[in-house]
Amino acid sequence: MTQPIGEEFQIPKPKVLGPRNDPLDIIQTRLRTHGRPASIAGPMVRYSKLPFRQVCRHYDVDIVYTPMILAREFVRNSHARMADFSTNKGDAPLIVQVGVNNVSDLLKFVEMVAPYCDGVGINCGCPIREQIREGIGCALIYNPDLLCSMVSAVKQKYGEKLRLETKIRIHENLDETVTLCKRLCDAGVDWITIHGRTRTTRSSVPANFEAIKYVVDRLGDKHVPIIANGDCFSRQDLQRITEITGVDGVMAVRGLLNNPAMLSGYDTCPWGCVELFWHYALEYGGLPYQLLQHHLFCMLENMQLKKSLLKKLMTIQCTAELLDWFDENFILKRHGEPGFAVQKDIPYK
Amino acid sequence: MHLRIGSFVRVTRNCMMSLSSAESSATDDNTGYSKLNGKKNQSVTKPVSLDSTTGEVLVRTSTGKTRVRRGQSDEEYKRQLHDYFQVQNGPKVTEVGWMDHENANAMLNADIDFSIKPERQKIAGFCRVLYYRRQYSECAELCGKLIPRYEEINKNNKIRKEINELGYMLERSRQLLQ
Repeated sequence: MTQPIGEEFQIPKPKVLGPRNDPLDIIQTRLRTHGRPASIAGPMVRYSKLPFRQVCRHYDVDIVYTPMILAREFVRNSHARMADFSTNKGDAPLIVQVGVNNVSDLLKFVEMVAPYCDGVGINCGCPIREQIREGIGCALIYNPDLLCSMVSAVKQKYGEKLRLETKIRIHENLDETVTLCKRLCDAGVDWITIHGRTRTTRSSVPANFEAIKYVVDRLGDKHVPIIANGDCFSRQDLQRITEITGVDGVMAVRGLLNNPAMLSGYDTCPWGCVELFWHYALEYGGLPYQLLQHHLFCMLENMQLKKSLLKKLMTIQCTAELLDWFDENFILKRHGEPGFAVQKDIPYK
Repeated sequence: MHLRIGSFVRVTRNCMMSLSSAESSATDDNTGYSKLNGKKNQSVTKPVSLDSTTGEVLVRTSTGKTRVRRGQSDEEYKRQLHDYFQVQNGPKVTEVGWMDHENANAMLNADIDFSIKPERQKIAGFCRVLYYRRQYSECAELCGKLIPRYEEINKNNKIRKEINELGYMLERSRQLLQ
């Protein structure tokens, strides 16, 4: 059954960009204003939800991504929209990452998310076979005509009002990556993130920063910022990767899952980060239990919590029980209590 | 764009040909492994656009079969826009303290459809926040009201886990209040 659409209405315009939320401006100015390259929390399937994004921002991450959202589902299904994207006033600068394989879906998707984010990133790096078969993710780096037509279509429609990024992987032949990046620059992309692995390189193999440098060295005349991605597990890595590659910023992903405070200079996850995560996760209406449990497991494992306690944590079945377990074993401060979110070491009871 | 069945078959056949040529010309990787011949099938397929205005594309699934991903008409998209911007007011927005401005008991009296999971998640979120804030009295009261409502729709024990969590919070809140 179809329902009448009702009266005509105005579609909200893209969010206004300024120095505080324009990701391109931040990438271009961080070195001058903060003495360091821009720091970016990349998209993680399932995990880059609102509470985690806010925790990352608390610890010096400049720009944060949502998980990849499939455009096809988002523009067709209200349940998918509700499940995939939630936000708030503090959720900025925010890049919404999209998985897409055609111009039509991308333009519709951008129209729907642009009022609530500071940029859109096209996922051209996801190596999952099911997505590649659909022409999504890193299939796009082997389909430059389609990818560039998608970038052109969005930039022709929105111009400087919307930031558009592409996150790619390197090709087996690096000159193909250079050619693709040049075409993307000509199509109007605002910045490019390059993951230093090919689509078949395992994450246990170190990221190839020399390859990123090779590409960066050949794009100088395009004046489009490049971000390096892969194997950033500390603030020192951020500096080291920038020095090797000559990029304008670094995107961290797995490292932040274990220690969202790492770019603030914490070698291991501070306890305050755990308290903050609990606070945001519950105040924002809750996270699916398995996500909450996994986030906390990663942080506590990074803090080298006793193995027996980690094992016990994984047997707990629900949020309330997990909260009780924290209160039984540690001093977990709530928002408003003195010393909330500042403790570094685990406060065992 | 509307296609008649005959022309659709022709288009599909043409697209299948271009899909297979795209596949054979795609970059492939020889370092993987597969179930068929010792190598994982790493070929990259390009989706074939069937209708650029609706976004209808032909893709090859992971099992190797071709599938048409149906497009979306202008009318259907307008309906989605209306639902998203006019009915839902955009994405879910949750500020810190947003629950303080909503009355969970009033929500219970309103027409909540407990068969819809996001609705249940929203109301159960209140219980969890109350429990987290150590407001055990309010938490127990709300859990006590919710459990019978959940039981009413618990067909085939599908939401047993959710009921168990409410029961856990109710029990523990009562214990902690003593």
